Amino acid sequence: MPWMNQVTADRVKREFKEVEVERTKHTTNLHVRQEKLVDLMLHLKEKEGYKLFVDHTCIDFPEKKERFQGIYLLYNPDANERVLVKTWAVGGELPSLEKVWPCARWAEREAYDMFGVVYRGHENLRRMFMWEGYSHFPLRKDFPLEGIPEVELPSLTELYAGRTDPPSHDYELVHTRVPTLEDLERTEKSRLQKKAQLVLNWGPLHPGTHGTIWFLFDLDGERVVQSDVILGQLHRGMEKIAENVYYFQFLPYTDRMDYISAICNELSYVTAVEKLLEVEVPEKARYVRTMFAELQRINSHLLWLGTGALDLGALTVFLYAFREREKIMDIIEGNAGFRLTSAFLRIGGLHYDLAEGTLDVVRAFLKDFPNRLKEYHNLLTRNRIWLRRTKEVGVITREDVYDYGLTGPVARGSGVPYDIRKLEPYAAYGEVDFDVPVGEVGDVYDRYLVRMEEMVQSLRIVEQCLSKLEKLPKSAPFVNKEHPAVMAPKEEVFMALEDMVKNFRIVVHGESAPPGEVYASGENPRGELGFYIYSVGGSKPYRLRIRSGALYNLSIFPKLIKDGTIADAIALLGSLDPVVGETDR
Amino acid sequence: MELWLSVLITFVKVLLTLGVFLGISTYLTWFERKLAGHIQGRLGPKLVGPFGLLQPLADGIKLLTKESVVPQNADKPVYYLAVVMAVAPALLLFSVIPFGPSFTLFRYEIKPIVSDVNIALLLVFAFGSLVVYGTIFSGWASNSKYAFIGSLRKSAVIISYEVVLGFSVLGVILLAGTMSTTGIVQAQIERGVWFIVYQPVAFVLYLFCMLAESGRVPFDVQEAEAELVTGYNVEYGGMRFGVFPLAEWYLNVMALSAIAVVLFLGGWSGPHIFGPVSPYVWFILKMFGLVFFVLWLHWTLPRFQARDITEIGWKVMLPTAIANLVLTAVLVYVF
Amino acid sequence: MATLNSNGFVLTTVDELLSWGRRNALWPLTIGLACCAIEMMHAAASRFDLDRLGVIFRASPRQADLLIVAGTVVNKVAPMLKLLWEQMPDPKWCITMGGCASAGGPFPTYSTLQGIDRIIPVDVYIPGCPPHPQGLLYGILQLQKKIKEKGVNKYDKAFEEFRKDMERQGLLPREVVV
Repeated sequence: MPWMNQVTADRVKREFKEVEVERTKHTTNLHVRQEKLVDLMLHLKEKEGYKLFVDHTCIDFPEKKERFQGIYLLYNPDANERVLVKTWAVGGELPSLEKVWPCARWAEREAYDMFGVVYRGHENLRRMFMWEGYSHFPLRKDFPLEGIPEVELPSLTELYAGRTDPPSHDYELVHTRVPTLEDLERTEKSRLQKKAQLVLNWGPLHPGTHGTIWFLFDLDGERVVQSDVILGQLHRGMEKIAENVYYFQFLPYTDRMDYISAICNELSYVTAVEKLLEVEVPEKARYVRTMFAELQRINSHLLWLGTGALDLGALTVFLYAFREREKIMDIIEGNAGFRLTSAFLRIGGLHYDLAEGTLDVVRAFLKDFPNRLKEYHNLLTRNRIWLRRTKEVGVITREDVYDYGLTGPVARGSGVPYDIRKLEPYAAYGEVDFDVPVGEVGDVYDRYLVRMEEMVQSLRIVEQCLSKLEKLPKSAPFVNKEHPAVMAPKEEVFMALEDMVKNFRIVVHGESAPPGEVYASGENPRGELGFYIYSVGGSKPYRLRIRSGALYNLSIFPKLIKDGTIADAIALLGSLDPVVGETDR
Repeated sequence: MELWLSVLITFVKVLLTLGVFLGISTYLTWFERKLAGHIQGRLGPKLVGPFGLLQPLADGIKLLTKESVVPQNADKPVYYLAVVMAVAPALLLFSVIPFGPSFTLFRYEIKPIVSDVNIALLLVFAFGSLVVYGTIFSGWASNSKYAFIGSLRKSAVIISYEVVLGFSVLGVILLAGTMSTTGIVQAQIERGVWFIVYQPVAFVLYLFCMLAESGRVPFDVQEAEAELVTGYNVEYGGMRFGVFPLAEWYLNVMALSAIAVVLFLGGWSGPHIFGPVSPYVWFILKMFGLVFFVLWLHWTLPRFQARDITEIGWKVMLPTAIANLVLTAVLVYVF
Repeated sequence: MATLNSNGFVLTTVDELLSWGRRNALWPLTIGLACCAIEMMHAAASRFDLDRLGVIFRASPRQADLLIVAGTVVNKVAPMLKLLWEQMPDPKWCITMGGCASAGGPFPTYSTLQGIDRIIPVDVYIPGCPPHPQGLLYGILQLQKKIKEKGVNKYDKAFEEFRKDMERQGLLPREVVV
C-alpha cells in the first residue's frame, strides 16, 4: 500500500506551514506541533480524504525532553494511501481527537493507561486495561516487564500439601499486586454514569461474552439505555513482551493474541518483520502461507458461526461447525505439530516443509467442505427465526465504518470493500484470484452473509494455491536461508556447521534490524491486524504496536446497542466477533 | 364402591402415576442427551453404566449430596417455595389424563385416570397457569438480575400463550361437547376419527403453546444461556436446581403432550395389536412421538427474542385461534 | 471397597456410591479465559465428546462442580474468578488447563497471575499451550481417579478445613452488590 504522495504532501504543507514531511524508507510521516494537531487531522479527514482512523499510540523516549511521541495512522480509501502523523506530547499532554474520530477515545484511553499521557478534552479518561488504583504505567521504558512484585502470594497447593524440601515446584513467592474486589468495583463505578435503574453486569466471566469482556448495560425493562465496556481481563502485556524479546521470539506470542486465527496473525507479523529486515520469501513458502492463512480463516469463521449460532440458541450448528474445524486443525497439526497456536511460519519462510500427503488431505477437504457449507445455509440462512434475530439489528453505516476504524468483515458488511489482501497484497494474495464480498445494509445478517461468502472465497484461494503447490517441485526451498537474519531449517542445522553457527548466533543475539519504522498489516478474520515496528537498530524492537482489528470493531458496540435489547446485544456481539486475546493483547 | 376402597384405588393410582412419570422424566434426561448427541454427531453418555444408562442415577446422587447454598440476600421462604411451585403443577397435570379405557378388576370398575372430573380441561388451564409461579418466585427470590429478567420474560410468554392455548382448545371442546378428557377421547372413538382431522390449525397452535409453556426452543427465552447465564434458576444449586429442568423440560412437556394426544390424536385409540395393554401402548407411543418432536426442535432451531414471541402470540396466533374457533362454531351449528 | 474398618461395611459402600455419583457427574463451569477455552470447547464437541463421561457444561456456578481454568488468568480477572469459585457449592474441584493457568506460562509479565493455585486450590494440573483435548480428557480421568481414591468424607473435610482457614485469614471475598 503506498503512502501519502508528494502532491498531497505539498498541498498539506501549503495549508499548514509548520508541518514537516518526512519520508522514511517504509513510511511517510507528517510532524506537527500538538497545538495544530486537531486542525491538521480535521483537514486530513475532510479535505484530503484520510477518513479511516487506523491507529493511535505513543512511543516513550525517556532521554528526550518531551518524552512521549504520539503517532496517528490514517488511511485514505479513495487514493489507497496511508500516512503517519507524529506529534510530541508537551508536558505529557495531547489533545483528544474524539470529536474527529469517536474511536480515538479507546486508543487514547489505552495510551493513557500504558504511558500516562493525558488527553485534553477526553470524555472519560480512565484506565483501559489495568484497574483503577493501579499506580504504574506499564509501557514506559523504566517499567520492568515482570512488573513490581509487592505481595506474597504462596501457592495454595503447596500450603495444603505442606511445603516440601526441595519444593514441589519452583516459583517466586512475591507477586505483583492483585486487585481486590473493591478495586474492581471502583473500576466499574468509574466507567458508568448510571442512566437507568437496573444495571446488568455481563461478564467478565460470562458464557456469552466470547471470552472475558465485561459489559455493563443500563436497562429499562429489556431495553438498553446505555452500555459500557470494560476491557483488560486478558491484558497480558504483549507489546511490553515484544520490546523485551528478539524478533523471532515474538512470533509464538502472536499466535496467542487472536488465538482463533493463529496463522493469520503470524503472517501479518512476519510480513512486517520481513519488510523491516528486507527478507525475500521463496515462492513455495508464500503459497503455503497463503493456503494456511485461508484455511485458518475458514477455521476462524467456523468458530464464529458456531458460537454465534450457539448464542442465538441453535445448539447443533455449533457442533457441526466444530466437526469441520477438527478437519482443518488436523491439517494444521500435521504440518505444524500444534492444533491451535501453531507457530508454523518463520521469518523468511516456514518452520517445516509441507508434510507428506498434506496436499491430498487439503484436496479432500476442498471437495467435502462446500456440502457442509450448504448444510449450514440450510440450517440458518432462510430460517425465519434466524432472520428475525439478525435482520435490522445493529446497522452500521459507511460513515460509522470510517469514524470507528472498522475493518474486516464488519466493514465489508456495510459495503466498504476494505480488504488488505486486495489493497496491499502480501504473501501470494497478489497472484491468486478471489472476490471481496460486501453487504448492503450493514446489519447482523449482512455480516453473517459476508462471512459465509468469505469462506467460499477462501476455498477458491486454497484451491489455487493447491494447484500451484502441486506443480512446484517437492524440493523447492521453503525458507530463504541465505539471508543473514533467517534461521536455517532444523534438519540442516544437524548436518551443516555453518547453519548451526548461524542459528546459534541468531538464537543468542537475535537478528540485527536496521533502524527505521515500518507498518504492515494483514487481513485477519477479525479485521486489519497491523504491526507498527519502531526500530532503533539492534535485535529487539524499540516499540512494537499491535493494531487490533477486534478492538476497533468492538468500539462501536456501545453505540449500536443503544435502544436495543439484551437479546440483540448477543446477536450483535456475535456479529462483531471480538476475540479478547486480541482486543486486550 | 366403599369409600376406603376408592381412596385406596386413588392412592395407588397417584403413586403409580408419580412413580412412572418421575422415573420416565429422569430417564428422559438420558434420552435427550443421547438424542442430542446423535443429532450432533456425538455419542452422548456412554461410559457410566451400559449405554450410559446409569448417568441419571449418578447425576441424581451428585445433585442430592451437593452443599446447599442459599444466596445472601435471598427471600428464603419464597426461594424454597419456588421449587415446590415449579414441580407441583407439572405433576398435577397428570391427574386428569386418561391413559386407557376403564376396565374391571375384582368386580370393580377402574378408570386409569387419577380423577375423572367433568371440567378436566379447565383444570389443565389452571395448572398450566400455575407453572408460571415457580418461575416468578425463583426469579424474585434469588435476588439476581439474570434470574429476575429471565422470570419476567417467562411470565410474559406464559401470559400471552395461555390465551392462545385456551382458544385453540375450545374448538375441540365444541366438537366433543364436553370438557372431560375421558369424554373427549370417547367422542373421538365413537366418531372413528381423531380431532386433528377437524382441527389441524388448532393442533399446530397447541404445539406452539406447548413449546412456549414448557420453555423449549425456540421459546426458551427464560434461560437463554448466552444472555442470562441460566436465567431464572441461576442461583439454585444441587437438587433444588435439578427440579427445575425436570419439571419444566420433562414433566411439563410430557403432560402437555399427553393432553395433546387426548385432545387431537384420539387418546388411547388404536388397533388392538398389542393384546390387552394395547391402549396404554398406543397412548405412550403417541405421547412420546410428540415429546420426541419437541426434543428434536430443541436441538435444531435458534431461539426467538422475548419481544418477538409475545408479538407472534398476540398478533398472529391469537387471531388465528379465534378465527378457527368461530369457523368451528359455525360449522358445528350448521351440521 | 468392602474393607471392614471402623466405619463398618455399609458406610464405606455408601461412601463409594457417593463418590461414584460425584465423579461420574462432573459438571464444569462454562468459563473460557483464553486460548485453552477453544480446546475446551473442542473437547466438548463432536470428536472428543466430554458428554460420554457425563461431563456437561453448566453456566451458573451454583450448578457446577468443576472449575476448568482454561487460559491465562490476569490479575484483573483473578478476584472475579475467585468469587466464582466461592460461589460454587461443595464438593468442588479445580483443574488448571494449560501453562498459563498452571504457572503463568509464557507470560511472566506485570499483568499476569503466575499460576491460579495462588488463589484457588488446584486438584489437577494439565500442561500444554494449549493442551490437546485429549489432555483435558486425561486430566478429567485423573480427577475421577483422585476422587475415587480420596473418598467423599476425606474430601469434604479438606474443603471444610480450607474454608475455615480462609475465614481465619479474612480471605473470603464478600459478594459485590451493584
